[in-house]
Amino acid sequence: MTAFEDALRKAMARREPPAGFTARVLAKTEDRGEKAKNWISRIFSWRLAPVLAVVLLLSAGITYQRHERQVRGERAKQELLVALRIAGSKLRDVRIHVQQVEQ
Amino acid sequence: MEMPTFAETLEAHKAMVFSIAWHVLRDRSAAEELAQDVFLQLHCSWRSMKSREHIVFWLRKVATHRALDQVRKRNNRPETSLEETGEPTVLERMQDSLLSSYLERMIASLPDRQRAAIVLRYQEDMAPDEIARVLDMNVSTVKTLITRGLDLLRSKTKYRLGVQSERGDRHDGV
Repeated sequence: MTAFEDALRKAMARREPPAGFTARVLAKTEDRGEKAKNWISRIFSWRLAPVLAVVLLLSAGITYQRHERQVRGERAKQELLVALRIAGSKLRDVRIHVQQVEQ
Repeated sequence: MEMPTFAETLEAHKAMVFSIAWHVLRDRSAAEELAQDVFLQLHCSWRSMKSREHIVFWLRKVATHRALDQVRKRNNRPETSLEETGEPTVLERMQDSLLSSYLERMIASLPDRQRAAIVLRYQEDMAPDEIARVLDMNVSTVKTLITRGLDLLRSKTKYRLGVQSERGDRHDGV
């Protein structure tokens, strides 16, 4: 190491921050922690309970409606299939009857 | 090794963070504010810290980058340019503290990136490859920055402070 670098190292020695620095930082971190806690507790406060209940009921209603629509759709599909099957068998009967008459 | 608490980390590294900010900004209140912000950011990122070494690396990196950002935002190329810096008096030749103060002013007059590299090299005693990781640069770029910074500082001080330039020793431990 040169004398110049030695002088630089001395000039650049670490220095302590102003008095009370640690306390100020810790106070700020606690303050932030408190604010975060308050924010969370505000969200889950009883004032929001009715809102949450309405949201819950609405989502339950929507889910029920979707389920009902699906069940109705399934039933209609089954009925259509039965109708097609009956119509098919009737057509087959008619065709057999027509063939017999022709012979 | 066991992880320290946040309060222990703050106590152990406050001088390091404050000094990096101080040497780059040359403004005591701005340096304190920046150091506080760095520790508050550390507090938020505390869970992602993996070891003591990781904490020190993180603090150096964030403090240096924040200080450089602040300098760029302010466009505060130091109040004192290299040419404007006054020459030391005879008294300064004799007193170490005045020499240090003079050198500090000279360092403050360096371009931002040179200043940051010199601060990390001589305040933190970091090797060029460590500085490169902190500043997100190539090792060769860091070496160039330090060498140029030292040349600039020497050119101003060699005749005036009775400190020989020692140009023969070009590597300066870089």
